[in-house]
Amino acid sequence: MADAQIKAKVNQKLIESGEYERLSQYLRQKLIENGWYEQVTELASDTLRAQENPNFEKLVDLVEPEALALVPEFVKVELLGMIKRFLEDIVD
Amino acid sequence: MSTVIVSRAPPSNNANNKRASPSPRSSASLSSSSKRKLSVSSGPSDQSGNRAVARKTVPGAASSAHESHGNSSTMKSNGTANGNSTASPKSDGKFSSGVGIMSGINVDRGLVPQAIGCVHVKQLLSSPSQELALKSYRQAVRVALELRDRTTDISAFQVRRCRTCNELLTTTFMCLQCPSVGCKKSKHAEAHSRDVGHIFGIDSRSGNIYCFACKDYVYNYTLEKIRGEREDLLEAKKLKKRHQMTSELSPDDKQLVELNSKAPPCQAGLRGFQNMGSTCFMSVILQSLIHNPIIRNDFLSGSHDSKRCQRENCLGCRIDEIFTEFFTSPTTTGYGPALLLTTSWKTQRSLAGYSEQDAHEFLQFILDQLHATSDAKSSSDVDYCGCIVHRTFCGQLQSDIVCPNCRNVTVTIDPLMDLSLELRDRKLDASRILGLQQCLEKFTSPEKLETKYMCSFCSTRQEVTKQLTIKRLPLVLSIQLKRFEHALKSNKIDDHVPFPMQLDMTPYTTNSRSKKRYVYELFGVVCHQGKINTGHYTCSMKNREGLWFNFDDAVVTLSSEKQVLKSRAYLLFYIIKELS
Repeated sequence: MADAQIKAKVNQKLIESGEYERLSQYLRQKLIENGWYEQVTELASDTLRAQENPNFEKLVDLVEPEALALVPEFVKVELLGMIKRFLEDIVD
Repeated sequence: MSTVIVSRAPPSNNANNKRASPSPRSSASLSSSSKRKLSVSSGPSDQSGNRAVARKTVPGAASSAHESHGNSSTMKSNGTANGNSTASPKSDGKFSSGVGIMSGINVDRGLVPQAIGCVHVKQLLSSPSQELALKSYRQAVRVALELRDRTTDISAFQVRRCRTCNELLTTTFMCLQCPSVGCKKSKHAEAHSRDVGHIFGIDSRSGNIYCFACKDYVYNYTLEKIRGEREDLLEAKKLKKRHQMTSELSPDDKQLVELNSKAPPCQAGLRGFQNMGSTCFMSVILQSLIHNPIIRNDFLSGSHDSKRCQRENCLGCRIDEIFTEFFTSPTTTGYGPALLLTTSWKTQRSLAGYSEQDAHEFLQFILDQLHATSDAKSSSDVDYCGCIVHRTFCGQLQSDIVCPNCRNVTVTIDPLMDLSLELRDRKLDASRILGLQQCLEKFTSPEKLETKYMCSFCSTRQEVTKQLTIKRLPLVLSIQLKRFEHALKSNKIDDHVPFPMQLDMTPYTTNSRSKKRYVYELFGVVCHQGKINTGHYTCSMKNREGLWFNFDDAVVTLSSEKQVLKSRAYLLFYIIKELS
C-alpha cells in the first residue's frame, strides 16, 4: 500500500507543479513535428474504411499497437529522460 | 453587397429541411456541369466524419497526453453548408467524406447500416426518463469540459478519478445514471455497467457518450448538440465574448433576418476562374484571398461596399464583387474576371498584355491596391494601419546588427508583409534544397556580412553580424519560396520543398524563448509548373470545413492533405491557429 501512496504523491506533484502539462505539451509537439498524428490518422482512416461494422474498440485493438510503434524512438527516450529527471528532483 | 448571409444552426432532426439545407437540385447541377469537373478523388480524408471517432485535426483542446477520444476539432464542421438534404447532418454513414453533394449521390438511408447513434441511446431518449437523462448529460458535460482546461489543479483530476482504483491520469467514464466514475484501462467502468446495468458512460474529458452494450462511442444528434453548445460557450468565454449572435436576436429580428435573406448556395465560395490568356497567376492569388478566412469575413461583412464606393478603377470594388458573386450565386462554372483584369491594367500598365506574370508580384500589387482603396486605412504608419490588408498580413521584422568590436547592437524594425525565403544554404551545402523550417532557421540565423560597415559607436570599420528575427507575427503569414534564381543564368528550382500542415513560428521570433507558442495552420498553397517564363500556376486551398481543393483555372477538384503536402509549393499561406 505504500506504493499506492507514493504513486499518489508523485501524481500530485506532477500535476500541481505543472510538469504533467509541460510533458504533455512537449510530447504533443514532438509527435506533430514528426508527422505521427498524420500517420496514425491515415492508419485509423484506412482501418475504419475496411471495417464493415465500424466499432471503436475494434479500431483501437487494430491501430494501437502500430501507433505505439510509430512513435519515434528519440521521442520516447527524451520523454523518459524528462520523467526520470523530474522524479529525481522530487524523490529523496 | 445586398444579400445577407446568415449562418444557420444545424437543422434539427425533425425540422423543415426545405429551407435549411440546400436542395438536391443543386447537387444535380453541380455534377452535370460540363464546364466544371468535380471529381471525388478515391481517398478523401474523413475530415467531417463522426466526432466520436478519432479525429483528423490535431487535438488542440485537450491538453494532456492521454487523449480522450473524440476531442472537439479546431475547425468546427458547420452542418449546413454541405449537408445532404436528409434529416441528420451526416446521414450517409460515419465516413461521410463531407462531400455527398459533390458526388451527386443521394444515399438511400434504408440501405445504410445504422451508423448513427445506437438503439440503446435511442431507446433512452424516447423513454419517459428522457428529460432526466438529458439533464444529467448536460451536467456531466459541463463538469467534463470545464475541468478539462484546469491542467494544474489537482482537484480537477480528483473529480474525474476512478472511484475503484483512484487513478488520476487515465481516461474515465462518468455514469449517466449515478455518481459512479470508473476508469477505462482497468475496466472498472465496464464492471460498473455490468454490475448495476447502467450502460452509458460519459467520457470525463470530452463529454462524449459511450455505450457499454455496444462497446462503442455513439453519436446522437441531441446529445451532441448539448455537448457542442457547452464547447462553444467555453470557447466564447476564452475569447472574452459573451455574445453569440444567433441566440441574441429577438424573435422579431430573427423573423426579419430570415424573411430577407437567402441561404448561401451549397459549397459557397468554391468556384474556379476562367483563364483569360495567361491569367492563372491572378486566379491563384484571388483564390488565396477567397479562402483567407480574415479577408473573406471582412469582405462578406460588407466593409467595402462596391455600390457606394466613389473611387474610379477601384480594385477594392472588384474584389468585393468577386466575393459577392462567389458566395451568393449558385453558378458553378468558372468565373471570368474581366472587370478585375481591366481595372488591374488601368492601375498598373505592366500587367497589361498576355504575358505570364509572377504570382507573388501580383499578390503584392493587389494587397497594395486593397490598402489604397480601403476606407479603414491609416495615413501614417503601415505597421499600425487599420485596413484589413495590414491587419491581416502585416507583421514586424527586427534586424540586429552587432559590431564585433564594441558589441553595440543597432536595432531596426521594419514592417513585414511576407517572407521570401532562400532555399539553399550556400555556406553549408549549396546543392542541398532545404525544408521550410530549415529555410526559416537560416533566415533568422546570424550572418556575418561580407562588406565592412562603419560602426557609429566605436568609429571603426568592421565585419558586422546581422540577424533577422520576427518581432511581431501577422495573423496570416504568406511565404514565398525563392524558386527563381537570377544568377548568371536564370534558373528555377523545381525540387520539392517539404513543408508542414502546422508550423510553429515561435523559434523564429525575436523572443524565441517565450513560453507562448505561436502555431500556424496551412490553408493555401500556390504551385508553379514549367519553366521560368512559360509556366502554369495552380493552387490548393482549404475551405471552411477543412477540406482541401485543387484549383486549376476553372477546374476545381477535391484533394487531400496528403496530396497537398506532396505539391511543389511556390507560395504558402498560413493562418494563426488560435486567437487568444
